[in-house]
Order: sequence, then structure tokens, then C-alpha cells
Amino acid sequence: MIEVTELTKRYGSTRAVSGLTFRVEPGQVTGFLGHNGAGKSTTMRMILGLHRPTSGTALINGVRKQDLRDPMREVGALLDAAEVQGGRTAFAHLQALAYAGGIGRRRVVEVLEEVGLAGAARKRIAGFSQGMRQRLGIAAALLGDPGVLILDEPVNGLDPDGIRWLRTLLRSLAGEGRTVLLSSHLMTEMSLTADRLIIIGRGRLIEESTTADLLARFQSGVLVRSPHAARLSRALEAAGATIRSAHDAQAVEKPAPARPTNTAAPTHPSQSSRLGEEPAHARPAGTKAATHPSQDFRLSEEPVPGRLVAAGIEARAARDAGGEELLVTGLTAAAIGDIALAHGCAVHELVPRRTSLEEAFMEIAK
Amino acid sequence: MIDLVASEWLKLRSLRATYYVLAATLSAVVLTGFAAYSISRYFDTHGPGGDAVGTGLGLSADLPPVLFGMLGVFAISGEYTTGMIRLTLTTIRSRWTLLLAKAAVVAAMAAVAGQALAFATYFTAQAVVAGRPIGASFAEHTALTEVLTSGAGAAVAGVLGLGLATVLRSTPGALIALVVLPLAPTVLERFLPAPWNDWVSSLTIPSLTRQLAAVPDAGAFGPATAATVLVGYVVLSLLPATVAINHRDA
Ligand SMILES: Nc1ncnc2c1ncn2[C@@H]1O[C@H](COP(=O)(O)OP(=O)(O)OP(=O)(O)O)[C@@H](O)[C@H]1O
Ligand SMILES: [Mg+2]
Repeated sequence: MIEVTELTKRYGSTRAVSGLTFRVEPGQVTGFLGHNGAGKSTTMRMILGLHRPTSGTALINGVRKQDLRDPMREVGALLDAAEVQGGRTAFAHLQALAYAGGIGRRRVVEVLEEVGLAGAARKRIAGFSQGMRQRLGIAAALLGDPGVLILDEPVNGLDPDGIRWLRTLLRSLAGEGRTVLLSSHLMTEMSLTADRLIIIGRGRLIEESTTADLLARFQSGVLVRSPHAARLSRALEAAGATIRSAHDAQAVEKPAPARPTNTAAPTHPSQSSRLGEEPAHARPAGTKAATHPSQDFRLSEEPVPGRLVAAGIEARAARDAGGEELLVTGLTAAAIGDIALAHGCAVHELVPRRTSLEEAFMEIAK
Repeated sequence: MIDLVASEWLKLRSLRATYYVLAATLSAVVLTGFAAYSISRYFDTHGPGGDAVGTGLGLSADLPPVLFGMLGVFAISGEYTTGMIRLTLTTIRSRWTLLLAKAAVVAAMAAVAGQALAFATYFTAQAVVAGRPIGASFAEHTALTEVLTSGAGAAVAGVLGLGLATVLRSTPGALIALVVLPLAPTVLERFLPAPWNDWVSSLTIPSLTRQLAAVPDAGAFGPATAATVLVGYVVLSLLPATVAINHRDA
């Protein structure tokens, strides 16, 4: 468990972290998100007792890092895999760290195997690739088999196999009841790995919620491809949905068309819950009302580049396949299917679209 | 603490700079050999009255403290320049124990290597002198003690280098300080009035180890004072370093 309370760090006139408060619970993978310079690494350095907070506290298992009795067995960290002395072999590097925590040689061999560096154990680190260094850094973090793991951008430089391996590893470590905090800029990976997300911007907390809740809040409708698009559109609109044709979504420069008045805020979570979409997730418990972004979030008024690219690709695919594609918000896929059936409209494709974490993050952490 | 010493010992052993420094100390043996040869030639042509070789240690005495100081510098400066110090500090309980463990392994390695170097220097010098009456013999009490105190001097130099590098956190900075500091007494000596110049020149590490061995005319202090000053150097090196490593962001 990691508890950060009113944590502030100033470097000269730079406020790297300002009054940050959050908790990282055991048994979950917690993702730490924020733009470059948002203060993620600074926060991690303070949690690890490397930098002294200007004010506030950062506790691991209830105490400051410096007060942990057996630090290596309680917390493992990867801050920057490049921060190693290249002249040593991977084995000597890990062995030296292991000795400091009274950890035996067997464990060193074990972690080297676990991270896939057994074959390079006797090679000098200077000759390691970026991904190999990353694996070595993860090995160092795992040495003491700690209950708390703090990893700063551990995915960088890993190959697809490595990324998948790390994801599985972190999820299983969290499954064993450990606390895992990791930062990354790779949103797809983060959405696959993290159960919870902490998003900061300019050193302040912006959002703290589960990944599922966050994505649910940014539910972006259902893509419907139908040869009877016009008729279906009318039927869906009559049922309270908002429709955009794929062509509108495609037009990056063109402003979105005026929306019908009966669907004021299609992405508002309370509305989606009324429509029966995952009501339990509709209003995340850990979300601060003040920072709730959905009120001023207008899907069709402020197009996000990522979404438009995706929409463009889908629209092109739809054109190729024949039939017109509609982006429907305000109704579930099931409801749309039922309405289509009732109106005798054939449906060739019915795909609920989830907003990607990247899109949600860009929207939240502007 | 034992665990930390084991860890730092492995780190020092697996650092290439350690071996470069140790290899470089052999230059002191070579230099002593040349100097002893030149003095022996002078003796052969001019007879007695010129310089004596003695134990031979004095001929290259300024070199080992600088080199063993570098051993201490590299023991920590690499961690600062690469940033590995952060990883190291996450694995330990209190920072000052890290410094103490590093000081212990640097001092131990410097003492052993410095002692070996002193013997090598002594025997090289005596071999070159080859029985001429300008050398020294372990039969003389001070000759043996002069050699035997060299290890202590090397250890103090190593800890001094470690302290400098910890405070300065920069390899070039620490190396510059390591060259300038030992020179300072030699330079100051020329400007200072009578008793002071003697005291100041007696403060260099090679001079202190000779005074520790009670070598005649080695300096202004007796063995007890010399020992106190050497211990003082260790304390003066480690105190600011401890404060620095404890209070600065890593
Ligand atoms: N040692 C330092 N001295 C001075 N300023 C610092 C220091 N470390 C970080 N900062 C400043 O603090 C702010 C936060 O930096 P930090 O490294 O924590 O960001 P980050 O969220 O980790 O970014 P990134 O995603 O790029 O890794 C930045 O403005 C940075 O310039
Ligand atoms: Mg960072």
C-alpha cells in the first residue's frame, strides 16, 4: 500500500508536484498517467525517499521509505533502466544489489531467468540493448520479492513479447495481493494492464478512478452499418439517439452538424445508466465531482484526432463494404438491434465503440 | 552492515576503474627504480655525499596518495554520474551506512594494495642499489616501520577521495580536488613564516606516514600527533560526505 498525502515538491521556482493526495491499494495494478513533466517521476522519487518532499508525506506500508525495516523485501523500484554502471556484468550488478539486502545468489539466478536474461548474465551491461536494460531494471526491482512495486515507464524499449510478458507478470503480482504502481505513456498497454488509474497534470491530481469507470464515462457510441441507413437513422433518433454519419466523423476540418435538441448530452454517464449501460460504472465512486469532465465534454463539438483517424478508417472500410455507416450515441447495441428489427432494417455491422484510453486521457489531461 | 560491506566489496571488485588505478600504482615502482638507478650512478662516479636512496619510498611518495584517492573517487562517482546511486539508495535503510561500507572497502583495498606497493617499491629500490651504502635494510627499525605505515597512508587517501567525490558528486571535480589538495601544503610552505612552514609541510599524507613511523627528520610531529592528524583526515572526509549524502536529493 502506498499513501501519498498533500505531497508537494518545489525545485527552485518549479513546482513539480503540488498537494498531491492518492492511495495505491494492494491487489491491483495502478497506472500513473500524466504528460511529460507532469510530476510522475518526482512523485515516485519522493515515495522512494530519494527526494525530500517540500511538504506532505509519502508512505509505503504505513511508514516512510527510510523507516522500512527491510527495504528490498518491502519495495522494489525501477526508476530509469539507463541508470546503471555499464562496466559490470548483469550478474555482478544484481548480485551486488542482492548482497545489500542479504539476498542469496539463487534469487539472482531466478530473477535473471524470470526476465529472460539468463543467457546474458555474464555479459557486460554496456553492451545491452535498451530492452535488455529494461529487463535488468525489472529484475533488480523483483530481487527482494517485494510486496510493493514502483515502476517508472517499465514498458519502454520492450519488444511485443516483453510487453506481454510484463503485463502478465504485473497482473499476476497484483493478483498475489501486491501493490503495483507503474507509469507509462503507452495508453493501450496501460488500459490492458492497469485496474486503476491516477492521472496527474502539472503536479496536481486530475483523476483517480478505475480503468473501467473511466472508459465507461467516455463511451462513444455504437457504429452501425446498414443499407437502410436513412430509415434506420430516423427510427433511432425517434428513440432518443444521436446520429452522426461516418462522413461527418471523417471530416476533420468541418464542424460537426447541429445536434437535435432532444439529445442534449449524449455522453453524460447518468443518461447512459438510464439507458441500461453498465449502471454500476456510471458514476465512479472515487471520482471527484469537481473534476468530472463529462459535463463540459462534447463528443461531436471537439473532435479528438485519434478518434477521427479511427472513424476515418472505419468509414473507409464501410464504403468498401457497401452500405452507410452511422455513429449512434445514446442507445445500447442491443437497443439499436431491436429497433432495426422492428423497422425491418437490415444491419450489417453493429459495433459498440469504446473510447480508447488515449482519447479519454487526452480529453482529461488537456 | 556486513551485507552492505559485501555488496560494496563486489561493486569495487567489478569496477574496471579499480583495476586501472591499481595498475597505475605500479608506475611508482618504476619511477623509484629509475630514481634509485640515477642516484646509484651518481654514487658510483662521485662517491658518497650525494642523495641517499634509503627505503626508496620517498622517491615516489607523492604518487600513491593521489592514485589511492582516485580509487575512493571512482568507488562512488560512477554511481552519481550514471544515476545508479538512486537504485542503490532504494535498496538500503540509511544512507550513511552506505558511505561507511564504501569507506570500509576502499580503505581495506587501498591499505592492502598500498602495503604491497610499498614492499614492491622498497625491494625494487634495494635491488637497484645492490648493496651500495645508500640503501636501507629491514634490520633498521625505521626502515621496516616506514614501509609498514604506507598502507595506512593509502587507506586515508582512499577515504579522502571517497569523501570528495560524495560531496562534489562529479568525477572531474573530485579528481581535480584530489590533485590540488595534496599540492596545497607544498605551495603554502614557501610563503609561511618559520614554524608554520614546517607544520604545514608535515601535513601531507606521505610526510605523515613517515612521521607515524618516527623516521628521523620526517617532519614536525611525533607518531602520536601524526596518527591523530591522519584519523582527523578520515573524519574530515567522512563528516561532510555523510551530511551531504543524508540531506541532498538523490
Ligand atoms: N531534479 C530536478 N531538479 C529540478 N527540476 C526538476 C527535477 N526533477 C524534475 N524536475 C521538474 O519537475 C517537473 C516534473 O518532472 P518529472 O520528471 O516528475 O515529470 P514526469 O511526469 O516524470 O515526466 P515524463 O513523462 O517526461 O517522465 C518538470 O518540470 C521537471 O523539469
Ligand atoms: Mg518521468
